[in-house]
Amino acid sequence: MKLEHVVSIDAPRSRVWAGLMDLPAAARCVPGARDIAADGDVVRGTLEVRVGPVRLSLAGSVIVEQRDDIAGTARLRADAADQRIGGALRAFVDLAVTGDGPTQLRVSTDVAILGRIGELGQPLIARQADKVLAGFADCLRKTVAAT
Amino acid sequence: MRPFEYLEPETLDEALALLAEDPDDTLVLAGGTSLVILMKQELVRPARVIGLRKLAQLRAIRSGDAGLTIGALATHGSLARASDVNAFSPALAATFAAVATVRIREQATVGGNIVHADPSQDPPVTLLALDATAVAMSKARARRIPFDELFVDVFETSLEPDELLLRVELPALPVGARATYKKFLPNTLDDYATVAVAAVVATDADGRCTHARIALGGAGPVPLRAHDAERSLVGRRLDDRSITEAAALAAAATDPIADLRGSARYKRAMAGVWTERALREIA
Amino acid sequence: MSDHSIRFRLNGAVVERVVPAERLLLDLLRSDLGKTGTKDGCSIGVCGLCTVQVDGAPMSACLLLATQIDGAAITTVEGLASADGPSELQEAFIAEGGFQCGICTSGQLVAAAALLEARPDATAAEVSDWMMGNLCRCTGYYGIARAIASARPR
Repeated sequence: MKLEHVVSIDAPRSRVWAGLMDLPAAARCVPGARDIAADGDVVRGTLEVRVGPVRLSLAGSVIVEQRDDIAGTARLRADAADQRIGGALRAFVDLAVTGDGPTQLRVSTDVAILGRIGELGQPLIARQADKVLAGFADCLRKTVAAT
Repeated sequence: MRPFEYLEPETLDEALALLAEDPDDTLVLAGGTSLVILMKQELVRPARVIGLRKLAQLRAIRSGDAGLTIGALATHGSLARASDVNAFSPALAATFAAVATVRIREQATVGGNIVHADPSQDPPVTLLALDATAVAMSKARARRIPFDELFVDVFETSLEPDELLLRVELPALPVGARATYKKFLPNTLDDYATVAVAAVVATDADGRCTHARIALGGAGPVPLRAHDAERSLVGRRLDDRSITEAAALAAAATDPIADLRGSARYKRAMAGVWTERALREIA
Repeated sequence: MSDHSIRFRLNGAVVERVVPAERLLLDLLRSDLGKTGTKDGCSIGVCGLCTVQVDGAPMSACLLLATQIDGAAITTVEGLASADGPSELQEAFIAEGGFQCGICTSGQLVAAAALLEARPDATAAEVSDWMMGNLCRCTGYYGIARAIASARPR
């Protein structure tokens, strides 16, 4: 499924971009993320997600597959598997920053969901993604403001 | 279904003590129509399940001058048939009768329905419009939660994992209050509503609105109150103009989740249409 | 992870059994007790194939844990006929063409029998409301509706 999010961050573009490309720090900004650790170019960690009584624990990795600092675009790839209910996801995340202070961040996600996680249904998964991204943007704003 | 340990407490104290032992890995079974499906799909895998069926006092339905009290274990079927419920508000009885099918209504309980917090369910919408308060209890304390503060997100309430919902309390309605519940079902009659509207109004001798409640189901991540629409009605006659304005404000209050029952835009538009129909019916 | 002693009436006869906590009533009936008249359809309480009566009320056996019916009286399709032959309702389903392939029939019969018991004076609209959760892909429902109407006590 494809998801599209645009958030505005009231900070210079260079700082927003630097914040995003510090992948371990950016990963720690994802709500529910824990045990984030860099392993070469790969960042590993676990994402805890809760939808009512359903709890997911997505263990996986994120890597930057393509990156263009001049254009302000990057493509990330994330793979994660859940041990609690069973299932996995693979996401390609295209990031693009435009404008400058305020800077617009566009996040275009193409995610494939496998196994039992799919039982939650697209509307609920999309909503969960909205919440995670909103939390991530709030954290990124604070991180960027502090640098 | 994964194996689990099943416990059937004989008393409320025993139930609360069991729940307090391991609230994060224990789930509570009332009727079971939702929980059993989640367990069959293995979306939830509790280590322990506490069945409440021996707590007969939680099935009680009582009415008095102060209003109506509904025990959490009352089934939808028993509530749809209860003369106390119908006497308090025929719209509330009709809401329980509108839930799913007879089989679900006979098995599912109002408490289970509320704590499951599916935003497309019927009873929370009408209960919200009737100013309901939830009474919950843990081993440590009892707590009253207005319905406005009960629903947090899809499938999430503000109840703590160690709390049990005991009952729902409804205050007496203003004299002459009229209520209705409208469920928009464009697909099949046993479906969840695309949107649903519960409305309550009372008017004075001049026909001016003194009390207005509009609650919407299927129109956001939780059952919603259309506060602006309610305020717009108070002090005015319930005529074409005030009703159309209130319906537009109700639609604006929605935050629908797109699904197989309609896009967000469609649900928002339908929330307006069905609010208007509800208000016309009780104007 | 836990076993439970349950005792209930099945079509009038007392049954005692030890079941694991996760045993569904549907599996208890079909697999453990050999009562295969109750069918397994959607498994999520929508289709009505597994309708049984619990103390007279229609419910989905696929949504009930066996422990939940401890102490109750269960009626399945096997309990509708008597030693004299099919019930009036069953005869009416035959006479009116209330089934074709038959997969939904036991659920339809058990639901309709519960209706005739609980609300013998139900209007046609009330019959439709009661029966709407029992899906049939063959008959178009007219035969079922006619059968229930003709079996209603006058």
